[in-house]
Amino acid sequence: MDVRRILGRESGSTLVIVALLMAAVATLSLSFLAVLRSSQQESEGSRENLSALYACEAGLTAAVEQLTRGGTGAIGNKYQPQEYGEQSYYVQATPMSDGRTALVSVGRDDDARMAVEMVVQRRPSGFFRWAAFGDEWVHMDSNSRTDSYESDAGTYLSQQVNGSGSNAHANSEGDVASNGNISMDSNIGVYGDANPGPGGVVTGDLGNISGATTPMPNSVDLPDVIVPSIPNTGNKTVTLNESLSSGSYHFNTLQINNNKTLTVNGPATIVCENMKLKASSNLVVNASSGPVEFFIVNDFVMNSGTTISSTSKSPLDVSFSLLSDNVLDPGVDINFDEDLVDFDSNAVLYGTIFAPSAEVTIDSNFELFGALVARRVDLDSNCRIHYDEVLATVDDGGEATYETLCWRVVTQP
Amino acid sequence: MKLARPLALALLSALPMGAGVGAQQPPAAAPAPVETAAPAVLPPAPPAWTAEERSAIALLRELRKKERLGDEELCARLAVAGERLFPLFSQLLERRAIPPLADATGLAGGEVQVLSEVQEHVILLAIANLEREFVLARLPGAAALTPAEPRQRLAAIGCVGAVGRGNDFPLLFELALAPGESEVARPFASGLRRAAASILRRDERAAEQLVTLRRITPRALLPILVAAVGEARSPRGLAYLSELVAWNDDLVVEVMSQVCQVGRSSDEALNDTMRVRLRPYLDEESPGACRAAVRALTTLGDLDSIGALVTLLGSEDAGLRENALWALRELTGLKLSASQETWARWHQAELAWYLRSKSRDFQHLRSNDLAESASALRELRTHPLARAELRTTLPELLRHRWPAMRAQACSTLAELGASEAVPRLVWSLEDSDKDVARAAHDALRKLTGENLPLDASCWQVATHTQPRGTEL
Repeated sequence: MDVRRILGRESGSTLVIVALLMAAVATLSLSFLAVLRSSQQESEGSRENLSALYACEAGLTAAVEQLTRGGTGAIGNKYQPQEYGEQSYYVQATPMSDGRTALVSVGRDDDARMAVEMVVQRRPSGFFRWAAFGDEWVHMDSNSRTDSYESDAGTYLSQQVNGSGSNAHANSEGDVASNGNISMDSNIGVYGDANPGPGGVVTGDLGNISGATTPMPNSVDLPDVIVPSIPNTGNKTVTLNESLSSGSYHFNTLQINNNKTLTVNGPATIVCENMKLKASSNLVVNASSGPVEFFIVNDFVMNSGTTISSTSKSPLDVSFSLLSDNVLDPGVDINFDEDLVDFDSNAVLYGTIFAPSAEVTIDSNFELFGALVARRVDLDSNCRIHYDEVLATVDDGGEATYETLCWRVVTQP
Repeated sequence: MKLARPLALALLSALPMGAGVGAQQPPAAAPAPVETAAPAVLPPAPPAWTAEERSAIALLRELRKKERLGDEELCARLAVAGERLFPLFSQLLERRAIPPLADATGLAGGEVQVLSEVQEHVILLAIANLEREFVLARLPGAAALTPAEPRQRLAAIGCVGAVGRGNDFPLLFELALAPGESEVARPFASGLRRAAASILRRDERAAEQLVTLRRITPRALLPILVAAVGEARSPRGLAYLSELVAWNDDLVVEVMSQVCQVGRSSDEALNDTMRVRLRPYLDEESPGACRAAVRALTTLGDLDSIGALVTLLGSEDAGLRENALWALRELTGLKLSASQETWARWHQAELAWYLRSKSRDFQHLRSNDLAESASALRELRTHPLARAELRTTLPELLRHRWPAMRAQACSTLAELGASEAVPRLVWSLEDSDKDVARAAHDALRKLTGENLPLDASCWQVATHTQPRGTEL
């Protein structure tokens, strides 16, 4: 066989094979590059989408901030978006009913665009935002309870439809809070949040709190009690059922004797150096023409079985502001009389209590419909505070907050 | 509050009004328990205090007024008489009342005052100025005290708290829980908590002492000591809390609550141990423990719990959702909305970056190329998961060849709250570039809260920093 001839005949096929191989490798490389490029583009797109989403979130945060300050919530527009680093956003705000606002934030990063809709609701700004607030601390003994109801939506009993037995409650806005710590014995019930101060903690039975236990971002400053200047007319003891017409009064000691009723017609401002409701007595406020404000300088005693309420049973109608300081002066002194702040068992009060200098101990089985703000709050076992949510809607000039009702990614407008 | 009247009545009868305490031995305390004694009121006999005692009593009675001297000034005035007033202080604490000064000193008079918190605080501050040995030697021995002498025990607990050290915990325990007692009465519990917290604040080794004593500490005292550790707010207490989590499961909720007050330890290994021990409690099946764990792990800066927190955002428990959102915002510094989807997306992206790009970015950060290094720093600042590593790496950048990078490192350290970098920043005040020195100065002011001038020696003294070596 002529080897050279054979080799010469096959040399062309090698070239073809090599060429085919090279073509295959080139095709594979191109495919690989295409996949890599596609993956890179996908990754880039995903990164940009995420950045666009962050821009949306920034827009929503800014919009809520603007709403809080009294603005509309709208920021920029499609043609003049708000710059946000290398991204941008704009927010459209649409007012809805019941104080709700729909915010649609559109974020953009290069070609990526994302849109997020969030519905927020204005939260009340009233001073009484908690069932119980203690400037220094709050302590809840076993079986004490806080919950909430709405006084303008019917009686508390008609709203007490959740839970059963000792856990029966109405709504879950019965927050407790403090600038310091909150401690809780076993079997308490907080149908709401328990927010300690910025450096404070909640200790004890945390399992029976329905809401959050996060610390408040800032301490709450309690204003001073400014007692109106009204001439003192001496002592007043209610020995028979009687009425006070609307106006301003200043008593040295206002005492309502056992089983007697004092009716006060509003609007009225009543300053008392000391106030004492003896057992089973009643203080009724007729607030059809206006509320009644009480200012107590020293002792405030509600004996067992007493009731303070307005004819409409609205806590907005009766307010107590206490100057009493029983921490500085726990006993008897010739300079300062003992400041007794005492809410005895089985008594009922519809109203608000503000005692920035006093340690207020609510006795067992006492029932408060309204709110309590004091220097220190000690809730004895089985006492109940039913926070009236209407109090929070009273606009006292405080800064409103907004609650998020829903959040979703939407198609771009 | 309701106890004030009966207590006052009891005290009126118990006070020995016949002679100055300096001239006589204190009489036996009322035998009844602290909260139940209510004997009849006896008319006070004319007092016969020494001049120093009269002056101290008058000063203490003045504390009922809203406008009064500062605590330090009051203590200084009470400390003039030194140890001679200790018997009076001890007696006032036992009786929990300030006696009247019947004659006209012009300062005070009238009736017995129930001891207020302010008065008790000032008395204890005055006792704290005395020698520990002197005070402890004059306390009745714990073994001699029986449950029938609660006032003496309560006063003794206060005194030990005022002057004691870690070594005095056993004495404190015996005073709070006498042999044969199984429960701690409420006044003793609060007395022990205050006293233990006071010792923990005063003595740096006291927390270690508690760890050593853990096995022999009566079970009934442990929750009170946990509260005391929290009240002392010293990160040294974390070791004790960690021990308790390991050995006392039933105290875990109390311990987790107090972690927030104690804060992170300077020992990172201890922080890690605590994080690992607490992480399993991020379980919505136990909402109480879960709430406490969320706060504790946030305080400990546990980034490894982010996944579990994102899961909690989908919990049916609204409170847990709110706690989890708060924790995520605290841990990451991001203000994303409450949507679980948003946080999950972010977390996924963050983890992807952590695995794929973190090392490269840190490598670029150390680069000598200004643009590359600055770009890496910009990128790293946006990643919460890299924050801890960034804090430890940034001090190296204070020696970067480019001043702009050194200045950036200063401001980023301040932004991250890296107080451990204070000495290095103090050295940077002497940087040859004025902008770097200014940035270091701003960072120091932010980190320390001090408002000192841009002068390295000033800051060295204020922050106890050694003078700059040659290595920077």
